[in-house]
Amino acid sequence: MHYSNRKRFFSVKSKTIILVLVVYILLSVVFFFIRYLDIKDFARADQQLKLQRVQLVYEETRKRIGKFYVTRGFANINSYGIKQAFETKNAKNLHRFSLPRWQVIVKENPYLESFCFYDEEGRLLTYFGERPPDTLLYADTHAKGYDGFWHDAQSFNYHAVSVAKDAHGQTIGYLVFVINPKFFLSEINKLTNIYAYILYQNKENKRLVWKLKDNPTMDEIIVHNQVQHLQKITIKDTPYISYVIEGRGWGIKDDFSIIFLQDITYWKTLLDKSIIQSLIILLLLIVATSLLINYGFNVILKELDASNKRLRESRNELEHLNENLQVKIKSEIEQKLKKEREANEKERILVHQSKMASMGEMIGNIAHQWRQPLTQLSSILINLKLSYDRDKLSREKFHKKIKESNEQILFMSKTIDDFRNFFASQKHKKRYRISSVLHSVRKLMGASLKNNDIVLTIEIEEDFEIEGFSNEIAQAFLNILNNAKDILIEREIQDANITIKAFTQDNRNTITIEDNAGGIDIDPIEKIFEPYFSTKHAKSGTGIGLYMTKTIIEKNNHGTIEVSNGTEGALFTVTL
Amino acid sequence: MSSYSPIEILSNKKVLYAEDEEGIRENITEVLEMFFGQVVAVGDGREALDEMTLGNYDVLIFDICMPHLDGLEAIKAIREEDKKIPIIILSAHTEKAYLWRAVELKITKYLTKPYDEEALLGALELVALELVDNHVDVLFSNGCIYHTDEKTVHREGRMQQLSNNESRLLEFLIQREEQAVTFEQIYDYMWEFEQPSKEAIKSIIKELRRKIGTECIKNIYGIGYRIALQ
Repeated sequence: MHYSNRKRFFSVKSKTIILVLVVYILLSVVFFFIRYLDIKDFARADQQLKLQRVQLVYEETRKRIGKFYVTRGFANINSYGIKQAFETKNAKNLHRFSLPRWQVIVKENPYLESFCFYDEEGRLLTYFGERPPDTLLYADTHAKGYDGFWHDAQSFNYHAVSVAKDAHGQTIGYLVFVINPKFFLSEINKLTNIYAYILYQNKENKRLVWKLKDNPTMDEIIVHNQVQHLQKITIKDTPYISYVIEGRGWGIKDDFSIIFLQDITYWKTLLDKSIIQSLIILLLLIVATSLLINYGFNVILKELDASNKRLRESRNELEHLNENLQVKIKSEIEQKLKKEREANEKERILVHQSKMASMGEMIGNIAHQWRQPLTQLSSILINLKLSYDRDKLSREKFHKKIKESNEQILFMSKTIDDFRNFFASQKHKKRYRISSVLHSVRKLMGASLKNNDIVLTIEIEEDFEIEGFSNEIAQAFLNILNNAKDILIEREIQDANITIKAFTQDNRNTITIEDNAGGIDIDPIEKIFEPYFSTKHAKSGTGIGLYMTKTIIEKNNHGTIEVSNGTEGALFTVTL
Repeated sequence: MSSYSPIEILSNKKVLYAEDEEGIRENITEVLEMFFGQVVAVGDGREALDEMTLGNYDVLIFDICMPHLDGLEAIKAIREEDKKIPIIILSAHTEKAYLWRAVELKITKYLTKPYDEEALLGALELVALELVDNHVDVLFSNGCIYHTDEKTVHREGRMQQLSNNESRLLEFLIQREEQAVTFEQIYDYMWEFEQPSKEAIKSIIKELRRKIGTECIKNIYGIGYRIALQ
């Protein structure tokens, strides 16, 4: 199966991408909606704040300005000559005494229209600034000083009224400050940076508009439209929202409105921007996600393909291996068998070599064994011949020599039998005493040792019985004795001797063979049991004697053999 | 030439035979007795050395492999005293090491066991010839001839047989030609234990002078005798 297969690849990948994108879009819409609501809330809060601020500014300004001017009015009433002038209705004096004050006040507030004096009947006595109405229509409606918007047919202004009273508490006149409504607009502008309008509509549906600044399009709206509170108005592609603060007149029913418009382009653009931002982010996310998913999928698919390929490869390998396994096993087995055969062959050759070496040594021993009787025989023959030649051969001497000869021949025959018995391969295990083996060893080696002036001592402490191949054991001992003999001769040891002891120790049948040749100078000493290891000169050493000895004792007879250096020479310890 | 073999030279000689194997020793002693005037057989090297101190042996026949002291060691000791005495070795050893040691000891013949009659007689012959320095016949200054094998003297057409003592002494003197042989030397060689008088020597010399000619055996006053060969 190939994961990069187009059809499959597309369906899996595109499904995943589409799913993820849908989730993204949904999430984005939700987030966008939340953001939109947020912005709207912000906008509303902002609008509310603006309205409140304007309202606050208006009301505060009204309070402050009313108090301020009413207080001023009273100050003026109480100042020198004003009261008398009011009592006497002396307009001239009023004007004269109040002028300095006017001059100060008018400078303080450019929107102060006029400063007027009315009598207790509400008739105008005198004034400064613009000409006020001749009669104060609302006179005597208030006991103390008061303020508020006042309007009549001609005007709409803010009035702050202070009531002048005589010593008896009788009203003697009114002192009025007339302030242009623009003052409020100016205050609003100063404190909130909003240009507002004040719109007044009187009974005759005549509209009066006050404004700080000319803005024809805005004026148009204000003048010609019935502006509702929180109305959205678009002028020349600029959206505005309108605010209307309802003001209440004084004494009459006609109300006025303070209107101002807020440019909500900012909020709109903010919204637009947020939409665009969201869209862009969404788009970017979609692209990034698509790329990521695509890349991820590619990587995963590549990995999958690779691992699939590896799987296929290993499966192929496995199949191949399985196919080859039998062949391999077969060849391995063949090789193993061959090696075994070779090892066996090697072992066989080794055994053969060992046997040949033993035979060689045995023949040497036979030669030693025979040399003496042969020499004696030849001596007898020489004696007989020479005696006969000299006519000195008596009958008795002849018979004596014949008898002597027969004895020697018998001895030789016996020797041969001994050796033949030794070499006859023993087919079955049998029980034998250690003494029989050691004595046959002495028989076989005796002459050879004697000829080399080596004394062989056999001490049998306990003549234990063993089951096994006695000939093999004898051969093992002969190998050790031969080595001892060779080294004793090589080192020219005086009073050379070899001692064999047989005893039981810890329930083990033990035989020790010790010579006095000075010991084995090989490290590690066990090396002497390795095949083809020889310290002897090439002619006498084959290097397998002790290896065979070990093999015979440990493998064929389940015994142990150890070697160490005793006090005088090599000490072999055999347990059987 | 006579029908005698040079081996007859040995008939008045004394041999020391060392062999530890009794059977061999008996037979070879019997054989040696057929050729030598006297045969002494011993069983080992130490005995052989003891025997040698008595000092009047003409020939040594030693086995090598013997208990206590082997033949070669014994010979080595003997050679320190006597460089001339002919030696035969009878040995079972054929190893080169033994042969080399034997060569150093100036052995006349090295016989390996078992040996046959021919080899043994050949060796004895070699020893005999060595004893007479290869001259079976000795010519004296006066023209008289002594046959060492026959032990006879030919003088002016007459042949005279020498007694055992006469031939032994004569050959002793011939071996030490051109040198004065002292009475002591003669005593030691001729007699083992008994110490005969100077007269005994003088009587043998007298008889020899009669047979060979007086001029051939010179008197060295106060010392001994000297042979005069041609």
